[in-house]
Amino acid sequence: MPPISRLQYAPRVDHRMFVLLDPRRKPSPQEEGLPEDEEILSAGQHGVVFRSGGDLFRPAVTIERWAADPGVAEGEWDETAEASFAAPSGRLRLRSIMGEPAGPDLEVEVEALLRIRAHTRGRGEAMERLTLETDYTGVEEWLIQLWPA
Amino acid sequence: MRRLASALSVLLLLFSFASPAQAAPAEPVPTGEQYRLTSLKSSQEAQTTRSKTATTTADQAETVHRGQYAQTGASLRAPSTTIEECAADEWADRSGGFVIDHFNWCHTVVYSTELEVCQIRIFVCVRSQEIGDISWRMTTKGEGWDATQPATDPRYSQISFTTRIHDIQTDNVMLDAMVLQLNLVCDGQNGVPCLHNLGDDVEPRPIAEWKQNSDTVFRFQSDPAYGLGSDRISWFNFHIKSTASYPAANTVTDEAGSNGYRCDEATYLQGDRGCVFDRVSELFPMAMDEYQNYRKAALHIYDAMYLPQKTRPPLEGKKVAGNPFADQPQPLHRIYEPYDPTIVRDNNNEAVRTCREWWGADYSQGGQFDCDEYPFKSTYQGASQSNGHYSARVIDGSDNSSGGAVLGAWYESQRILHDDPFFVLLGFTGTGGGGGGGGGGGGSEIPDSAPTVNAGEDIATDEGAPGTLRGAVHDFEGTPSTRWSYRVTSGRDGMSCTLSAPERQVTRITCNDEGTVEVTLTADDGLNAPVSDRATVTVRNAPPSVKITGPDPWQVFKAGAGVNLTAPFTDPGALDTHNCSVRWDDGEGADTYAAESHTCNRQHTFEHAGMYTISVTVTDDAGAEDTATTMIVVYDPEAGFANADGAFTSAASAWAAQPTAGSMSFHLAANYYHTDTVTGTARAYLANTDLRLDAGNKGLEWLVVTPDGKVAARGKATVNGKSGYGFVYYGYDGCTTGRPGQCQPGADRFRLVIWPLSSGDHPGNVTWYDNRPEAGYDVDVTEPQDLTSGAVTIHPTTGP
Repeated sequence: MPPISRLQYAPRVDHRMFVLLDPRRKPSPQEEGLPEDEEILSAGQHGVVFRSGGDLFRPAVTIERWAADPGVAEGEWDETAEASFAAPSGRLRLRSIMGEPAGPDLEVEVEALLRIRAHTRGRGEAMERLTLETDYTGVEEWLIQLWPA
Repeated sequence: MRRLASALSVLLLLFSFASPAQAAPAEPVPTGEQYRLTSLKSSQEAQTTRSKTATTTADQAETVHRGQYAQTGASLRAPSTTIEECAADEWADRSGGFVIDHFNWCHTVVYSTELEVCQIRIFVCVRSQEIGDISWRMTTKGEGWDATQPATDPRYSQISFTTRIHDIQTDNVMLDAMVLQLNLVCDGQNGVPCLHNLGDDVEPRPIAEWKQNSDTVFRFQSDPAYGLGSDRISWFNFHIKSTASYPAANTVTDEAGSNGYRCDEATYLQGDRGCVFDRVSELFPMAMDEYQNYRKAALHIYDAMYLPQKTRPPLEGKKVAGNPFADQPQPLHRIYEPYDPTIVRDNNNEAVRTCREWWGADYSQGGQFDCDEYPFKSTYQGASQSNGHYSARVIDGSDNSSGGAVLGAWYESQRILHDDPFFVLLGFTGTGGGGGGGGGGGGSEIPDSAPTVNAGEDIATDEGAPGTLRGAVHDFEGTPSTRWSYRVTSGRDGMSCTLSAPERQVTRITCNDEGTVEVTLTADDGLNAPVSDRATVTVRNAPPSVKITGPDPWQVFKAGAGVNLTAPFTDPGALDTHNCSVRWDDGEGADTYAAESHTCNRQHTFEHAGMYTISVTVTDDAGAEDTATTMIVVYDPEAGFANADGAFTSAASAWAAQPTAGSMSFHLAANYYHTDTVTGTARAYLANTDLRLDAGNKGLEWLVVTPDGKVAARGKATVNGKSGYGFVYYGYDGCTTGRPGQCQPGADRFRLVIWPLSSGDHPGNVTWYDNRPEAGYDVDVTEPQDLTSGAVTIHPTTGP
């Protein structure tokens, strides 16, 4: 069964984070809590904060919407994590912690609690570039699956 | 002989018009403004402020006060302000109100007015009596909006206001009938329409109703399609218009609370669009408590602001921007990175260069640490733009991330657009920048700091009128004791002032004379040396206010009798001295003399009959003055007697009750016969109407015959048989037929004034008939009308 949609983004990472959230609801997930050092994401009521390895660059992020849990994606991923949140406005936006949108909003189910599974790889290489390089694209990859919980 | 025949013919004509079939005259109706409201006095009127010529900027104290609203670290957005807080905030009692933050604006003002009734009208009302006064407070709270909140119409952005009329105080229940209307007037800049959604048609309400229903809600909407630039911004000005009126009286208005707001459609801010009060530098609150996950970032900012010698790169005299308590505060200005990516990158690169230089190339140690910078790289005051006035420091990565996350969330929730100014407010949780305790960490120690004091702007106010001193004190460690003091730097001996609450940061100063005063606000935390700041109060001279309490208007005196003028006055300048100047209106010059005991009392004797408008002017030693007038009547039984019989063309406007044009016939025969009681008759009749006046043979009250051919007589009469009317006849004996030496140039002329006695003993409040309604009541300015037939004749006094 294929996903309902698959979109690719290159969000701006600032302070080693980027965010997926309902843009019409508050509080912003970054107000509610941030991922601990060993975590790759932290969910709030209306969104998720992702912890990147690098800073001031643009990782490759793919977001897939599914009708049901697709299971862990194939391929070699360094880390995966899951969480739940709601998007009552029916919209989701991937953006930097300073508000810069990474692309068009996603439309999602209004009523449902959303389940998210994030897979990532390349965070270590991005971390190694921390003091050396900014404004690059890729290196760190994310695959984010969304489905109604 | 010709004059006698003419008079007889008119007299016959008068009596021949009498008809029992005539209908009763209509009830008297107000034709003038019997009542009058004085101009609205505002608590924001007397005082002006001026930029301070010291080392601080004029709005620093305001910024400090704004910080007292912020709950440092507890919430990114200041809690919604209540209307009660607005009413109590003395910073809101200014013409533009007080912008607390983007989402909260307050304005409060006390209005007062007086209800007067007119006692003397000479062209206009020249003497009136206050019969009541009223005051009320109008408080308005404005609330910003973003699209995460419900919208009245999803197509538009919106902003709302709640206005409360409260603390109504009046000493006369008549003023419950005064009608007060509020309008919040909005004006879009550059032709952008400001859409009223609520409150556009607020019904005027009597005061009695405001007492029951005190609140009014206004809401404006903005169409994002009109916005300009990448963020589609529209700007708006607004003010509150108050209109007070009394039934059948005048209307008075005032405008206050002038400020502005903007609406945007910035997708990088919360809800994607919103409307906020933008005439403010916002405060970004950062708490330094032990448990804060960004504490090391906050302590880094503290060191950059207060201990710059501890920071890198080293720079002599380093002063970083963004500190609201600096001697010369310079705000930060946000950069939204997509709008200016180069500077953000350069800021970051410059800070990283410094971190590598001082902490080594491997300062990150595998992502454990980050290079933190202040001012933030997302501002135009960042490392690459500040000529070395910045700090870079390696701190824990989690603290740095947390600080960045909080800053981003604050930008978003407070609608900080690209290039918006803001300051950083350091403190401890819930203290608004004060309280809590010091501490250390991350290489920083916070010593007990001395308070920061700002005495606020220089102000100017009138002597005797309070001026508001808006000072502000800030201390990280708590609330120090504060005290205002003053010193007269320019003024007369004896000049002094009072401070309403010298221990409060906002207080009022009232001085008893004009001059200049230096005020000092001192804060003492008990640990450091007391800290002071000064401002200047310029006290302006205020004019005296005089009124005549005697003689009464239209009071009657006999020629040769003494007339006692009683004219007390007040002056808010307790040290002022005064001169009185009285003009008696009898051809003599002004009578000028020094006032005693705040009175201009004087006695005067009028030698000739006449109507005299007495004016008294009191002038203080700085030249400010006030004038009051009253008119009296002086009769002389030996001045002669008068006969007036004739007619004139009466315009429709003369008879306000039943506007009808026609020929007005009149008759007057009056003589004192060497006594103090006038004897005679007076009649008048407007052709083909029921306006038929008859004073009988006992209606006359007095007769004035002037040496220059003028006649005036007052009495009581019936109109078409109905009693309760007063009248004044004015006649000029023209020199074309009059006696040389006791006549007026030109032909004979006449004026008739009738009023209902229910409105007073003399005309002025309500006039029922007047063929010269624009003229004064003094016989010298009465402007009588030419006759179409008949004559006004003054005769030498003869024996009884």
